[in-house]
Amino acid sequence: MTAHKNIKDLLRNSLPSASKQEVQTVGHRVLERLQSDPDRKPVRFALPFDQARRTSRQWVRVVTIAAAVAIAILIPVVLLQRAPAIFEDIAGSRRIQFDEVVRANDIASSTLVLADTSRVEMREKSELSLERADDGVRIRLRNGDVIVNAAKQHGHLYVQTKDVTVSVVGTVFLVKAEAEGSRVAVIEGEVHVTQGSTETKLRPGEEMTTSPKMETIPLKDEVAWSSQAVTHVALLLQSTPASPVPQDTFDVVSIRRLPEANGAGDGGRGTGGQQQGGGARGGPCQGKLQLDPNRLLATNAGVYFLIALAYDLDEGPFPCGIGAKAGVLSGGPDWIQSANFNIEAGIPEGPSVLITQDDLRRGNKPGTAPLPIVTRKPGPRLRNMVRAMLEDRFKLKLRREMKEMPVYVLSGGSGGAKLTSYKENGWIGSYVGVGEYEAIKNSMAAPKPYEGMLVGGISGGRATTAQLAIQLSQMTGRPVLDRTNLPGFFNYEFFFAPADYGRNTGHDLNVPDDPRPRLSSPTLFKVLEDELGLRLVEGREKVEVFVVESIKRPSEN
Amino acid sequence: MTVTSIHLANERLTQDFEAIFREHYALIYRTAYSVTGSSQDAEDVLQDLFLWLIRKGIPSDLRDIKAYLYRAAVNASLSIVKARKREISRDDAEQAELHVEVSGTHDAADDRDQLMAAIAQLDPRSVEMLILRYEHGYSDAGIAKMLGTSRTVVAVALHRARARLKKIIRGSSAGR
Repeated sequence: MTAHKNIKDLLRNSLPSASKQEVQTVGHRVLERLQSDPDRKPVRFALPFDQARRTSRQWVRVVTIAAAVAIAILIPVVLLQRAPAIFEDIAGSRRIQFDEVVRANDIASSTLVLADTSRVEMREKSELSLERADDGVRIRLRNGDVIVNAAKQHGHLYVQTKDVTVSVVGTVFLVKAEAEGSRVAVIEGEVHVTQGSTETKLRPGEEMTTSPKMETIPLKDEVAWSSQAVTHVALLLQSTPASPVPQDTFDVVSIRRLPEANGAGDGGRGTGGQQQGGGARGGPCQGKLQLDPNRLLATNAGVYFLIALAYDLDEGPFPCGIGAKAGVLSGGPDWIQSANFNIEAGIPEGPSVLITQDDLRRGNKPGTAPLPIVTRKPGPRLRNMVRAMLEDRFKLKLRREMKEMPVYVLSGGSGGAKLTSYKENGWIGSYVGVGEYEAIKNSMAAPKPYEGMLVGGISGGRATTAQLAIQLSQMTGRPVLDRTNLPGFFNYEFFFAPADYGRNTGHDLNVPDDPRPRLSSPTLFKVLEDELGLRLVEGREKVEVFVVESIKRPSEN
Repeated sequence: MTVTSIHLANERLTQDFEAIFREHYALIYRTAYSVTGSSQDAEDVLQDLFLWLIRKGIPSDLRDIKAYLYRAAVNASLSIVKARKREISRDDAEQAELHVEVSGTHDAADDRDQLMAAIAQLDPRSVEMLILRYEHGYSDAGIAKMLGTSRTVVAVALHRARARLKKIIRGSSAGR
């Protein structure tokens, strides 16, 4: 600023100001997103909206809020490490043990937070207990209503009444237990209800009762007691068959097949291994996705890449490359191992198909893109559109089945986890890879005596254990299941012997005559146990796999 | 076993939120844009603020939702700017040095960047007042009413905020 410039002029002339048209456009877009997906994750995390209620005695509030945050966040986090659940009601929080009968108080709903972060809202006067199941946790609902918001990726959660068992992973649903029978209704996702030898699948907006004597009440009224009633109703409005939902198909799809890369398809045949490094173009897991609200652009996309996109594998513990290597994605004729396509598809107008969220990860190279990168990720409708395109243009027939396969299981070590909880305003980011210590270390962390050495490194700032499991999958090349049952966000950074992990992360260390010394110990497994108090052990688990039964080359246009 | 589709009517609750959104989104977005200087950040603030409201509900003892939303927008925007600054200082020291080298000449963009960096160093209360005055065109009386204080307090606070801004910007220019 020039010295003579008046500060008032500067404020009048230089303060960024949005145009009226921009304000309207953004307002329309955000409202549409909120209406179409009110349960979306916030783009920014832990925004201090509560600070908006300041008074002149602000410090009193600050202390009160800090104490409340400590009680609301820290105590459950600490307690959950030792108990299967925390019960929260107007009287406060307390630990719940297995087989203990929990009763919601008489005047307001209460919440049970399970160790895997699933939340069970209990209507007043409801009664339940928690039991261990072979592969997860069972809620035995003795009486009353619960709304379950089940977390993903932490084993199975069951809700059992006297006459039905509901099996679920990652969804929102209501269960009611009365003298006449039980009622189950789905708000989001899908549940499997077993009554005797009959199993029924319920999807959003569907319900079932076990007795015709039970009164039929609209679900919006059934969930009215919930503190999250607005969100549940908004979710239901999206999924109700009666509401006019636009068809989930692209307007126009343009597909162009790219020339096959030299040698592509060799070696990866039958297993679908992802082509790594060197900018190789072929490979069923190759692909780049660009999205805007009106258009999808998939560049150099392989078939598995498109399937992973359609079936939401890209956000789970088995991203395409790892999934293909492990056999989560398999099958199909030889040509899909080397065929890649450029696809441009028009997205029809209607409820938003994208989820905007902060990537916040700085990518795999320190120093690049240091600022939070806002990305737009595909929502369920867009995934449906990709499925429809695969069925229509590729004539894809896919078989989905459960299959046992080798995995690593990440769990708390015998001495208990030693992960450091994320602190407000702490470092946010992530890294997974192999390289020179100086190049990959986080500048904020305490230095290690590894200067000049090639090391393997993993770091996370404000990361969950599920994210750590994905990083470990990327490093080891094998699916890693998160069984730590540690809720919350953590900061971690650790280094280990690079072994042959470089090829998994796209860092080829097999350079002849490379004079750089390599860290020889500790191993990844040892450092996880010593520094984070976590165990990574081999195991075999049943996971859902996707097998291409038949597919045809699409006609170009 | 009976499986029935559940039919839902339009919900008053969702309509209430829509009405609140339509009434206040421009204030929130403009405020966030002025503080962050980024349309994407401002859009995030707008979206997250209403997501937060949908989840938590409107506090029952709230007397003025407009003032509440405004303060929330300022707080959220300031924390984004501060987080951004932290990231730059930690991870991008080389680029920051480069930026200093090429910023010998001043133009409108320089003024804007300096102003925004300086605003981010003010306390949230001062930012609330400055943005109300210079972005939304409120008078002292209007600001006082919005923020629940007196005209005199507003006048003094604005004067001090401008003086502080001037000092920060001068210090910043001298340091170049």
